[in-house]
Amino acid sequence: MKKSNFFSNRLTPDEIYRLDRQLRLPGWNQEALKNSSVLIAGIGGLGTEIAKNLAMAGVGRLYLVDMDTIEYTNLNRQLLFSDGNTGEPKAVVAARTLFRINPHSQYVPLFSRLEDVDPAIYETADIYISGLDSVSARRELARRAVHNQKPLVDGGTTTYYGHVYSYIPNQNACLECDPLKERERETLAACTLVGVPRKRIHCLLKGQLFFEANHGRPPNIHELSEMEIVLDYANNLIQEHFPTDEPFGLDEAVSIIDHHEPSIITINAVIASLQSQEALKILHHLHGTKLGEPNAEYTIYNGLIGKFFYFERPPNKNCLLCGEFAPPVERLVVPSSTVCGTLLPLLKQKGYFYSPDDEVMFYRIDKTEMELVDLESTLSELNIRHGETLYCPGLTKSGRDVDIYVKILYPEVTQ
Amino acid sequence: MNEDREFEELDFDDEGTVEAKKVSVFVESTIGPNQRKEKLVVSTDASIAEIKATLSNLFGLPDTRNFHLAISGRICDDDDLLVNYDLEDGDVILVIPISTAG
Repeated sequence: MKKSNFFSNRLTPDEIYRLDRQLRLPGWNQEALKNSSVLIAGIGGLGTEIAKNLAMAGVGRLYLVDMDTIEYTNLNRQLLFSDGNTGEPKAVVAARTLFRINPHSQYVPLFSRLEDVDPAIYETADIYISGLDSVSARRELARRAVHNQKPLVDGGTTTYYGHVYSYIPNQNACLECDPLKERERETLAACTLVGVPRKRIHCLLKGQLFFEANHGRPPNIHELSEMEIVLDYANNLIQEHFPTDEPFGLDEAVSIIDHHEPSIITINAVIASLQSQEALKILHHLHGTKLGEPNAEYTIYNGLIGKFFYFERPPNKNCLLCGEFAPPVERLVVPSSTVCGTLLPLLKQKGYFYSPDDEVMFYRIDKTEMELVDLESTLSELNIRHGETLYCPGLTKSGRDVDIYVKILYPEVTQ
Repeated sequence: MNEDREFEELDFDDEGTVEAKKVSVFVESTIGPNQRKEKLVVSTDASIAEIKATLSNLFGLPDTRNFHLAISGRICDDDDLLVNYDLEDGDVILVIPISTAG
């Protein structure tokens, strides 16, 4: 018998009544959504809107990941939060508000960095949606999406513009397909502590670090005397290294040090709604109902002229994350009592070899701080979690050097 | 719209490392208060940063840090050379926002 929305065993009578109007949509499969789980990374301007949309649409389980607490300046656009919530974790408050909006779904708050979220959750979720505000966090999520072969619906805004892009495994480009050196700049920023500044902006950063080193805290942007210390230091460096460049002014320095993107609810809501609609379609597809067609193109919205632009993003076969020569992911189903050193013979069975002279090493990468694995210990002794990824460089396969990722899966969890 | 423009500053001598050629392309801006598409002749040994500086004047976009270029579905790196993006006559270079806020 064909699936019915109105006579589904998966939905309570209450739910069927509440969702009545959408159950009438052609091609709609409410059960598919009820059985779905979605990881929303970043519960800010986009994330709150996306979570609201998917909760109201009756998606069964939402994992809400955010490492931040609520600030008063969030309230112009983040409708899940209100005045009394400032200082509370975004993920926790969002889960509470969502439960009031639709108590029929499950909301799992994760007040955490993306890196530290239990790998089993990345395994479980059907899709990931990004409402993130940094390139480094997007890279982390993109790696998880490629390694776990999960669709990733990315969105972002800047002033009156925004973009939506759904990464669909083995179909279109992942985030790393563009060889953007620029992506590394965020991580580079920390490295400019030492060495000669290579860019004008580095001088200001060094000025900040100079202040921090002397005062044990960052400069207060509202204190003129403190900003002057930073500026003096920065502008001396500019004079020394970039004599033709303009020195920093006070306002410029404040806006750079206390950096906040301009943000407005309307643009957020447009982008978040597009992401949500793409997510609902992808969830239908993943659960066997072809509802429309997910948009695989990069979509740009220009709110100043009310127009959309699209372009295709073909995958890059030389991509270091998803390309032909990218380190492959080998899934190993082993009991948690396995001694880590004995993973090597298992890899040998899969055709990976290593020189007996070299010491093969595994690194835990699904956490904020990368960690070397002690080969004498068992997986459980090291608290290596179900679904965790280990990076293993320096092997050979079919005569070629190859680095691999090993995903540890426990039979007691996978069944 | 679509006027022919040629920019002297984009023409460099062939350094021998790359085969530079001139291509006639369209540049379409997705940002700003006007929808614009311009025809432009560029030399492929120009850097992305140089092209961005030119487009910043042409499209009235004051800060080159506020936009990226996209060519054939690749988002271009500022430090890269145009020659790495296999640009052909008639191709479109898109000026796109750097929308990383959430």
